[in-house]
Amino acid sequence: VTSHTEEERRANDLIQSLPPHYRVVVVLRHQQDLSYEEIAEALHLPLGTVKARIHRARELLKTRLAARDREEHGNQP
Amino acid sequence: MNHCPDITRIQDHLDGLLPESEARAFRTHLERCAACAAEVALYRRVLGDLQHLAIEDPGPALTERILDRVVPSRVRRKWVSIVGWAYTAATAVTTFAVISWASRPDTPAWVMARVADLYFHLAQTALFTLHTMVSAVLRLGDGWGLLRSFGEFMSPLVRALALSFSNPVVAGVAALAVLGAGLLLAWMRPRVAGSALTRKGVRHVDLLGF
Repeated sequence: VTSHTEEERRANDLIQSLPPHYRVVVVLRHQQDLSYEEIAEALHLPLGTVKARIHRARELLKTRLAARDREEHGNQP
Repeated sequence: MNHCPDITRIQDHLDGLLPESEARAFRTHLERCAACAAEVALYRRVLGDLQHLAIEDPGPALTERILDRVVPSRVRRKWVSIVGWAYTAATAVTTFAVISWASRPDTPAWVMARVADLYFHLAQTALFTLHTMVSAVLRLGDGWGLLRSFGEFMSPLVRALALSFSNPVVAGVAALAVLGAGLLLAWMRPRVAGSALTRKGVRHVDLLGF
């Protein structure tokens, strides 16, 4: 059984919230530390597609983070 | 928000992909633009969270199962093993069926004679092998005697083999078998790929026979 810290749980929740085709590139980039070129080769995808997916995935995560912040601040008295 | 960099440029900046002059201009812009600074802060939080992704160790069993499915040399070995077992099973079933059929009371006499011949030749071969081995053990003390005795015992077999191979059909089948074995070995040889991943330090891939 693997024990996870709070940060690891939050990172895993973030990843799980992504669609699979975004999740794969984000894991390869941020967990496996592969470069864009290496991800493109491993997944047999054009470099532009890999870059676009990673950027779009981070944008999605950023939007969700901002929404969560707004909810938390909105709930505060 | 005039002259604000688009989302892609913000991410390129955070990845350190912008040329120094553009990066400097971007940092200057951030000092004056609260909206872009807030965007960058959010992206930094996302990247910070992603840095904590746990690296799961799947364990050797899972790794082996995956490699068995994707490494070409292992996949070929698996198929050769399956074909070998299938051949052995088919031979065993066929032999059992033939012996069962030949052992029935109403089996024609000529079949019984052929089966008796087969058993006789099998027994003869087993006795010949046993006799050769016993003689070899008895002459272990004399090296040349052992060699000579082995030659004497083997010469009838060599002559019989030479006689068999003088038949064009037997020689043709043997040649085809040798050719097939050679092709199979060539197909199973380890291959080394020159991909960017292997060049960039994933050295174990070479050892796995890609």
